[in-house]
Amino acid sequence: MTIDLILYASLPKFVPGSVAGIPITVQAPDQTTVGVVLSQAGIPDDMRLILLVNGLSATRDQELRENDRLAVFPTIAGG
Amino acid sequence: MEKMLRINMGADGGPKASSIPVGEYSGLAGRALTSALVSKEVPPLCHPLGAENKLVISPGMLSGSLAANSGRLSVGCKSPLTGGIKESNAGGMASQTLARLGYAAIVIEGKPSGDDLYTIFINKDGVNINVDNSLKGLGNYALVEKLKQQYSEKACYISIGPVGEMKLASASIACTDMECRPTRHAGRGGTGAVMGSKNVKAIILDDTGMGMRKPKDPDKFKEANKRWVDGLKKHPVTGEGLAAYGTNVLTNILNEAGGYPTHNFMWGRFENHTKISGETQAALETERGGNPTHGCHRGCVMRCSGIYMDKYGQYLTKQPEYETVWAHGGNCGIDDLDTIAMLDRLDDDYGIDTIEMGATIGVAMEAGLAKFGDGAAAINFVNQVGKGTDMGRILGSGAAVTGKVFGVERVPVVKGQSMPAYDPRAVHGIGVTYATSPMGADHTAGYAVGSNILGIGGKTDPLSPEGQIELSRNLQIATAAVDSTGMCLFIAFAVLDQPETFQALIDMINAFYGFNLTADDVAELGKSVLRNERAFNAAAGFTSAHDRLPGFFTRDALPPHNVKFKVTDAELDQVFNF
Ligand code: SF4
Repeated sequence: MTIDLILYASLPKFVPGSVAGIPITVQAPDQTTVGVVLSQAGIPDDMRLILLVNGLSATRDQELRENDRLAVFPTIAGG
Repeated sequence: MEKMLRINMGADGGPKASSIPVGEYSGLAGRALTSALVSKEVPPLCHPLGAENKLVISPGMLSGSLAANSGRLSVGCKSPLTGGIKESNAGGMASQTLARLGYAAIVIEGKPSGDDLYTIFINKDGVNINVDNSLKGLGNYALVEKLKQQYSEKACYISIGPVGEMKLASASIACTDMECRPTRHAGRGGTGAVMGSKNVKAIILDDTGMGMRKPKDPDKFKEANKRWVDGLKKHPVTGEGLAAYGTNVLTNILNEAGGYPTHNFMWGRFENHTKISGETQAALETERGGNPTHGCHRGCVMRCSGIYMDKYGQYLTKQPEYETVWAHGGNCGIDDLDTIAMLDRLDDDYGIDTIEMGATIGVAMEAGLAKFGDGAAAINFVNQVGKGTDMGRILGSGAAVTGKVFGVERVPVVKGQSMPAYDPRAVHGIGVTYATSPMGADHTAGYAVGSNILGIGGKTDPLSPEGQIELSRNLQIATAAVDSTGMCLFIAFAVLDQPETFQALIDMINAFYGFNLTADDVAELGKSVLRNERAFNAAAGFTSAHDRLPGFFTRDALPPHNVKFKVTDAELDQVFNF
């Protein structure tokens, strides 16, 4: 299946050539979890992240589906 | 800070200042003091621009000390925008300077009978109040330039622009930053109009010859401050995130979460969000020789601010904050950072709240006065407000008035104050705060976005009403306390996640004052502030019917999640059940 992975803030530094906010197309076997996609992209497993799949809060063990949009942020805040 | 400066602008024979002991307000500072004084001394039914209203300017409990991030200022009054009580909070150098001068507050009362415009100069030797009509109509930038020649570059300036002089309800009060630029504003609620109604154009604070405020127990204080700074530095937000991208790092995440109000709260996502995001803004600032990492006052270790240069590499404005970038950006369909930065500069110069102005332009665009996305029209609107044309005076009166004048139903306000950059349908917790805060729609009053969207201070589902009442209640109580310490609210991100950092803050206050406060006492302080504010509003005519969001939030679904605001009225009425 195809997943759109979108990295924000400081995260593009882990994926050479990626740019904040620009989707990276990732091919993955069916039922791949968020965590597996992140590990394969080179994002440290122990990093505290904010994960959104199609705009909804997600966890690392959530299974992804075809054409899901996985947006990943480090811990950020403002206001 | 055992004295208070009372200035009666309407005294016989001209304005009169008296320095008096704080008396019954002893131990209070910041929002605790402004709200206690306003609720006790201002008649709730008075006209906000009348002689009976008082403008109270108070540094926080730890302001003027070595405590990191303790330089936030509280400005209180009856609000011309909401008709209720107001505490508007500002950064810049004013809080530290005023605290070092030894004042727990400046209280500006009464009203002069003529048209003369005044400046108030305060230093270690006392107070000088002067007529200076040459300042009439000056923008904050030109005003500070002029006053700097007369006084000192090292002084700190609290001032209003022409919009405050016109007494429009969106007028802000500017405070100068470390570079002596008028970039830090008590923005919300029209405090600038109250200062204008008292004919005060500027307050000049010069703390030359005054040292840092000294703690009762210097060793304990020093040790607690070290734990405090370590705690702020080790949290990913307060230690790194805010410094790298500023608050505008939120654009992308609110957009992803479908809670970024776009085209006057029509949609929850803005197509061109990456063009105006914090990441893009920080890169542009660096590229142009500006700076994405800058503190609004000395002693800030989080440094969420920055310096924004124009395309020729010349200083244009401080780094526009997330709320400003949203208000003038996505909310108006504008995707150009230079246009947004220019609007920020104009707002600061004319002395206008950027949130109210942006929300108002969104309403004006909805009314068809300009097309969404038309940056030149937005700049023209703000210039009209600054110049005081008839149209400008309508727009400068805020989103609610503008909506009425032009027949717009979708006006995102509570108690007459416009909502900031989070749609309550997709961020339910902040909707509860908007609805119930005594301040009107105010995100800082109980920042539920942290738990709803950012996973800070627990985790709640932003699309569900579940747990939101309790979340907003606890945050509103904590915020009222933090706003009384002089601490920048962003410390909350570390404090909510790290109990030991919260303890360091309490230890610092205790060491400074010789108190024995516990966490429960701090919560009780927050509750007492809210009780004062609610009592004032009730006496001013506010009922539970005012603790509601406009009807379209419960009626119209917000894309992309197609959600409505689902917290019931009965639940909203439970927020202040303490
Ligand atoms: S974090 Fe930002 S708003 Fe807070 S004190 Fe520092 S610069 Fe000012």
